[in-house]
Amino acid sequence: MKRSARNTIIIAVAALFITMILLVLFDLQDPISMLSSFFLGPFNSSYSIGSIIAKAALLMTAGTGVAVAFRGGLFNLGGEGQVYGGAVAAVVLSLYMPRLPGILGILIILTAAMILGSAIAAVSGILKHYFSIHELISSFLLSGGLVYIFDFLITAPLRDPNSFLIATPLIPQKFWLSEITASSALTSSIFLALGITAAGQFWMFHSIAGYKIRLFGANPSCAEYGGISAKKQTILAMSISGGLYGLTGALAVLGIHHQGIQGFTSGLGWDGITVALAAGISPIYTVLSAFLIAFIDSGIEASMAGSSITYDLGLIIKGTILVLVTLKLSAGKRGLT
Amino acid sequence: MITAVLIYMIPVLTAAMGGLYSDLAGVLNIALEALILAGAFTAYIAASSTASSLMGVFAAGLTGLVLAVLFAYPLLKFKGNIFVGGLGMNLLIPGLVSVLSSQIYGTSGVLHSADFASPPSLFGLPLPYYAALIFIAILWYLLHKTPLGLWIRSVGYNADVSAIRGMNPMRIRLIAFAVSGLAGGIAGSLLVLNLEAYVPHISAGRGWIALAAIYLGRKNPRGIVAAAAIFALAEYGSNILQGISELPSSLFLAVPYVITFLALVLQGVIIHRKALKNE
Amino acid sequence: MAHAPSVLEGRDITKSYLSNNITACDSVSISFSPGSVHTIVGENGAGKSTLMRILSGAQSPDSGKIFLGGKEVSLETPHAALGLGIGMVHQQTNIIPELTVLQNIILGAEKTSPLQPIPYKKIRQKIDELSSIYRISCPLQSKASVLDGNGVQTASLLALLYRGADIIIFDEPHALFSGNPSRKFTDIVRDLIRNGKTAAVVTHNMETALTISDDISIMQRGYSLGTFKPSELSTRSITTMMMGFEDIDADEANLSQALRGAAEKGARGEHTNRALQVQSAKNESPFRLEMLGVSTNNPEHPASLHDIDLKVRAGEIMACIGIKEQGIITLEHLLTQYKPFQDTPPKLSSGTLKLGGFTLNKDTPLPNLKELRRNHVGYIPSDRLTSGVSGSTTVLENGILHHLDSLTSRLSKGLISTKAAETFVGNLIRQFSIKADVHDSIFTLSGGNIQKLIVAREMELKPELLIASEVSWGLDVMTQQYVFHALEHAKYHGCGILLITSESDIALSYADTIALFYRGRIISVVENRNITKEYIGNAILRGEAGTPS
Repeated sequence: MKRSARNTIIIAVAALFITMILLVLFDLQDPISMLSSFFLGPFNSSYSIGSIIAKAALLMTAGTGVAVAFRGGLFNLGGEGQVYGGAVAAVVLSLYMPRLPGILGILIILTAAMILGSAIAAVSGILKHYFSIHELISSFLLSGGLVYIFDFLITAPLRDPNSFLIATPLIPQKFWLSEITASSALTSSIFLALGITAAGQFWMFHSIAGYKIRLFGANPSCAEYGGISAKKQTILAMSISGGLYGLTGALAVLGIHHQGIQGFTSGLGWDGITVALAAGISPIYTVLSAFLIAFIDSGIEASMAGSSITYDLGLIIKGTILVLVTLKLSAGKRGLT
Repeated sequence: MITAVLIYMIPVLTAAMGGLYSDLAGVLNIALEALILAGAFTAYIAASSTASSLMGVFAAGLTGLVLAVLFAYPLLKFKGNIFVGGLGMNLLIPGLVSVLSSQIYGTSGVLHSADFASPPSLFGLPLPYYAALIFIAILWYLLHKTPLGLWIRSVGYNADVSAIRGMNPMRIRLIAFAVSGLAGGIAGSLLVLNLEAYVPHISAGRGWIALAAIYLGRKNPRGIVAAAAIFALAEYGSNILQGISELPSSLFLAVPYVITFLALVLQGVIIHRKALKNE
Repeated sequence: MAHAPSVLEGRDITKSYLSNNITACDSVSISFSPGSVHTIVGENGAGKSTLMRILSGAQSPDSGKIFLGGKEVSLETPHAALGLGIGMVHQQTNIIPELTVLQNIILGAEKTSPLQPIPYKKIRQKIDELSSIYRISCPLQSKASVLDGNGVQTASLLALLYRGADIIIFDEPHALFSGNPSRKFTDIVRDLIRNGKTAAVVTHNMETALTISDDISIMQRGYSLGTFKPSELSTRSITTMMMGFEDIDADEANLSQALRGAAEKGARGEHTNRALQVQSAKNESPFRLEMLGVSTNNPEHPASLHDIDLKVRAGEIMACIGIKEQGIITLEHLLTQYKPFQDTPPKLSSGTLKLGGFTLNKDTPLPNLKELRRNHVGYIPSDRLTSGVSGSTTVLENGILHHLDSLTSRLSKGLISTKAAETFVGNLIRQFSIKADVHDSIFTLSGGNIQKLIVAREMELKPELLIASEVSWGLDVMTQQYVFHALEHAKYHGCGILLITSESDIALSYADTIALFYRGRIISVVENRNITKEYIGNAILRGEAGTPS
């Protein structure tokens, strides 16, 4: 665990350093103002601070799920579809069951989103165990197809005809997660997310189920010798990662957007992988890496005005983080594949 | 119709044949998607600045190859995880391409130019597609007839035995990975030369479909041709339906993924059944 | 390609394995004369294979020199050795099952540049030529996965001949070798010699050694006892030297004094034959394991079991002793239905097996390890580093593997109580004097401490039957004593122990009853009273089971 902490910090520092270099390259005339808008911009308003926290909440939820799959030696690349699925499930439930009471309704919505996400991911686990279909390919393909189907749901049957956006109507206010500070994106979702990372950490390292998944991921031969079922671990690890992806999507709806917009959760699936790997696949350190990624996204947004910077800079930074991570993981032997 | 299907099929097949090299060597290149995109972008630059579509293909292949080597060398050397690194490439390269596009052309949107060299066509198929077919045939030939092909497979099956037989597994893996990069780049150039323009996200999942085709084709070229054909027919069919149907287009975009996924599942089930019977 | 025949010589070769502190070869010298057959005999673990791997470039020695034709050479890889004309037919599969037999033979020597087509026609001609010279054949176009053990070795030999090897080392060759039932290994060796090759053969089979050899070297526990002419030896005297008996028979007395000295140097530690204190009570105790006429599938395989009758009572240590490759490891994998790397374990093809309360025959599915442990069957695996522990985790996490259900937290049955786990593993560490902290990574432990942890963990299950395979392999004397102390403790509490071993000292020192395995069959089950090493040696090496003296 101590090693994960150190790795997370090394990666965070390296990522910020690379970001600075890229920023300077973008604007060689006035690098100082570029750097200051990137690093200070996100702290300009309570609204943007709130956005960072809200985004980080989503990322740590997703990252915790990814960490579980990786610990079980599995690649869930279907995050995009699973997050989107959770989000659409949340929209559908809140629009079509408006009579549900507030808190209970929120619980039902979140649970349903988790179930949908985990069902999608479990398919890949089942296919892997029974038919030896590589989960990396099957989870990606399934998610790739589902993304367009969810797009269709938002663009046609669920669409609000009065809106200029390609979006659904707003969901009833009683399902919105409560705001912590006025007029900001900061909601109670951060507490839920922190709870999930803590619970995830505790479950992974202190529960029997978490122990079995870790042992299976680290050494399947030894797990079999110990009588641990490969079938259960494969399906369970995939389901949990999918479930948390689904929850991420629902939190994005109830906490931030309050409606479904075409492609609105795009990128969260991949970001979850980056967050988990940068955290050394330990749930608790996803708090740190999630804030890092959220901050980078926010800094990029802040420095976009009046410059040639786009969101693409974020892709470059995240991609670089992953390449750094894998070099760092070199001692991990068969840990991940 | 055949031409239209071939237009969908050949880029995927090219990428899949290259990907097959990496997979057989035991280092599946999951960054094909990004390499196709990089190839497409450089093909546009080369084809519009030199007015030669052949230069486009050449530049794209070279870019894919160089990127693949730059990426794989440290990972192989330091025994990094090639999958995680591949995911990184899939984020990094699209970002880089988009930034370069706005730096060079002032837009990260569609690139179109009057100087773009439209490639000549034969039977409705642009000539570079024929070149790609030759490239595929060469890859197929090398894999099955030459020592290199034998080495690539033996390293993938068992690197230790291969080393005992005097091979350098790391070098062979690097070569296989480079071939996958070359093929990915060329596949990207085909997309641009057909459209005669560069469109963001032009790869549109073809790298992933190519990976699926490798598995669906049971890792042999004949099977991969069939898998790429299934994908191309699905894509063609969904385009036809899109034209005559009133349903939103996004639903049809799902078709290639769904068909490929279902084919993969169906095949897995059939193989499993057969294995049970033989027992 | 053709090399002039020359002497291959190893001088003062020493090789130790750090992981378990074993010296496999201790300053061993050996010399193969050109055009001769040189046999190396010795027990499992005597260091024969290590020595041969060093002479063929598959391993490098810690010290010592290798000379070829009088010139010092460095054999860094098998490929480099092959370049000098030295090749080895390995015991383990050294082929790639997914490729064809032909591809396996030519792999790495395709006789063309990497991007040119492989000249299969020319190559086949050459291989056919070799096949007819040496009268061996292989199904060249088939996938190598169809080959059995003999076929694999035949293909390996063809691969070496194809590359022009002059000195060919065989590690435990199968008796039927050529893919042709009427041709024996000995015939092939004669053909090799006739064609100017040199052969070195590692074997357990003394008849073979005495028939084909020009020279015989005998190894015991990492030492060479010297090189002899077949005329100087008999199967009895070889057995005597291999096993390191102290009492050499009168007819062997003409052996040189030097040899005696060497034999005594090799034999370390006295073994006391165990008096059976609880003899009378034991005969009424219940059976913990019964095997009646048990045979395994794949009967042609040399490691398959045939018609095994074996019963283990509560309070009894039953040693199954034999050559590793002749069935005892198959017994381990059959009973536990476990083979590492998700390999398929052997199945029953006939007979009845009663274990852990199950009565099993060829139509009933065999229970897995989880079901066995639930029914109080414990298992200590022979391959402890892959299966017994998971390397990237801690002592604590490995220690609790079988006891998850009893270490749960008071809060919930699904949670592990860290405190209980620490106490539990802490106790294991104390009871077995394991030199480690509960939170150490398992890779920081020595091989002996890892084995103590595995044994301790299994003992905590209070098994009624314990299948313990090669438990003391590679352990130092102290650790070995700890391990057997634990086994005896279990025994006096009514556990029946099936001790699978290839070491005769272990069987003699600790077993109550000894089942002697020879080529997949039990040739005799005897009480461990007045049994000598010689008796065991004659049984497991020569298949002779007289009445114990």
